[in-house]
Amino acid sequence: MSEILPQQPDRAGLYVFGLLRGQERREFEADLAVDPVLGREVAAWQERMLPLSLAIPPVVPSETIWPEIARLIAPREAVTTGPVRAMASRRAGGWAGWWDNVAVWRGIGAVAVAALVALIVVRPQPVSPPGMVAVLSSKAGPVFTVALRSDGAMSIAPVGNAKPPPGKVWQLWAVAGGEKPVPVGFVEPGRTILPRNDMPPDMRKPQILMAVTVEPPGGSPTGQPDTPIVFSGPLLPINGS
Amino acid sequence: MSGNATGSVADDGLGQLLRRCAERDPQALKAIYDAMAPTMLGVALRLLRNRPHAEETLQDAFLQIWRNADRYDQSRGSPKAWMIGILRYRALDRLETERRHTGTDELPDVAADMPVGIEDSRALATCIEELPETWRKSVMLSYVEGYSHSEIAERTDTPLGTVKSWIVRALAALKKCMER
Repeated sequence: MSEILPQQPDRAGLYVFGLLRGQERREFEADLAVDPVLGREVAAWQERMLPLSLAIPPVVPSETIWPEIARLIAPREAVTTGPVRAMASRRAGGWAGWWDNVAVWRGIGAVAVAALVALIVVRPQPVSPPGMVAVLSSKAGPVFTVALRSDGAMSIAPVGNAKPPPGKVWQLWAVAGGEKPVPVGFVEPGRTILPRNDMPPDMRKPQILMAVTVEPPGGSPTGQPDTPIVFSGPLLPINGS
Repeated sequence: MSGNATGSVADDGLGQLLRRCAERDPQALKAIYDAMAPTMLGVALRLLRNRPHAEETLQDAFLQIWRNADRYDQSRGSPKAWMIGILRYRALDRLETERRHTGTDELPDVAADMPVGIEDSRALATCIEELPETWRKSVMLSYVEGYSHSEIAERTDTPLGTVKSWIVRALAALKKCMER
């Protein structure tokens, strides 16, 4: 019975088991974003294996975890002052420094707006137009364009042919003023389609800054950017409203 | 009112709570946290073998649950499977970037002998039971302990290609067994 070798490895199964790594995983996630069949297969595997997760002995979290979550999900006005700043510096000298340097980000943003205007004029409209666009620019000029559709699908197209440094990846972040950057996915040197789930719903709005940092394969180990932004740009509505 | 977190009722309760999260009710997230955080931390700790990392992963997972609550689709599975999925991918991200250090194996590899001990798992337990031992061990080492193909090959002293083939066949067998 077990003589018959399956023709194709079950990618959804391998993904749920954590056996797709690095590039293989990113490719699968890109496919997953656009293929509802794969989505159902992944969900089915998650459901199938759930009893095994539930059988792992539970561990009670430290008491500090919930208050921190509560603070992070609190309405923005409530957190922009003290707590976020305090928490940022708590992360052992990590990204707090450059994050504080908002002026730099704004500067990069302004360049990107100019580039965006140029690009919208030049580029033909796609069949189903994106709701918002960002041009990710470095000091040298635009590097990628990001299109965010109303259903949350997101695609990234290169302007030139930039590549990340050898052995590194480009990680994409969404940044709302005064909040921690949220990892959104990875930017490939070519065209990238990001899984739909990766852009949080409350980040899908104008002026959210899309920023890219250089990180080790798999992304920043801290879950927060540890390196300076290499290029970035704000999301802007394409219809101007 | 939100204290009921046992049995199959919990799934319905969690679905309801996720809907409230989508409407931006922090109390709902707290109720989910109370019900699910220990289970989720257990899973994360098992994969990461490092308590601070596991707790940070738990926190990240809850932020993602909060942000994506409106995307939970009950036709695709239970709230628990969805939430544990979120946690697992976060933990796996971390595993990938942090290369398991030899010194961090605080837990013994007991996965291969781990009983699947809950009420509605008879199908899974039986199907895992039916796998040849080598396949079953590979399944447990990957799903429970988060080992990669090459780590399993190393730990079981088996050629990588063989391990890959065990897993491919084990997945096919598991899927088939659970569908019958």
